[in-house]
Amino acid sequence: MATQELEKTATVRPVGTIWEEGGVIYLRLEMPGVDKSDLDVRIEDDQLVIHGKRSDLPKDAHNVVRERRRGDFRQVYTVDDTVDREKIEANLESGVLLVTLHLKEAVKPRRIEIKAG
Amino acid sequence: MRLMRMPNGVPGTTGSYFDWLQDEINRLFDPEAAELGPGLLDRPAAPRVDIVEYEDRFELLCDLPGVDENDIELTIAANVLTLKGEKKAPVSEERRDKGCKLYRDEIWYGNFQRTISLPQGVDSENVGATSKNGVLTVSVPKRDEAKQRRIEIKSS
Repeated sequence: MATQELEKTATVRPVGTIWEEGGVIYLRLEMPGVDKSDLDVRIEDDQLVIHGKRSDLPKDAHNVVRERRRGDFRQVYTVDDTVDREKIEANLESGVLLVTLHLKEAVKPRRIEIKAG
Repeated sequence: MRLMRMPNGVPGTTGSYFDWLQDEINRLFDPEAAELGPGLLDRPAAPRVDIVEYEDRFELLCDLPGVDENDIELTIAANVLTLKGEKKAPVSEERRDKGCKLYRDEIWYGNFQRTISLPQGVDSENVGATSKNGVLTVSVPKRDEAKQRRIEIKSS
């Protein structure tokens, strides 16, 4: 997304859960109302940029109750060298984005065999 | 006063809490909003909703990302709409104990319930609900007598 355009767009940070399990880091972000075609997940240098456009917010309608946050979802994470950038996967299902980041083999804990001399 | 779950936000940072506090205080002084939403003193975890009025219907939109449709129970009696359900934890307690390292957990989960009073004159027989991209949309049509009608002015 172009910087200029971004400056004019209201964004909110999606809430989420981050956990590690078996050498894989999972990033689960809640982005209700974002369609697959409106979601952009990309790696830019050291940054993982996630941007989802909301298409479910009613425009020019008379809101009786308005509690949901307005604006697109946007979050930027810094990805360090321990993550294998070739193996990043993203999956969007019923408003939940799950990004899978595999750790490089070299970073995973390894058991070192002790040889008897 | 009940114990309440804190709003979505990053524990340890004040920014989101200030937003929340501001919302709550604004709400406290807004007599209309106080009736509609869960207030400052009694807030179980509840999903956020929007209600939009159209000429012929009301539409309720509710953010329920990752909640299975089978876990949502929607009932309507006269003009009171009740939305009940359960939001499951993304990482179960069991997995937390078994070598799963949790770095950050910001979402709320558990049972939720919202009761929403709609204005008089809704047709509770023809309520429709759909779910798309984690947003539940409930459409409640207005009864004919509640719809706006244009009255012809006759010249004499």
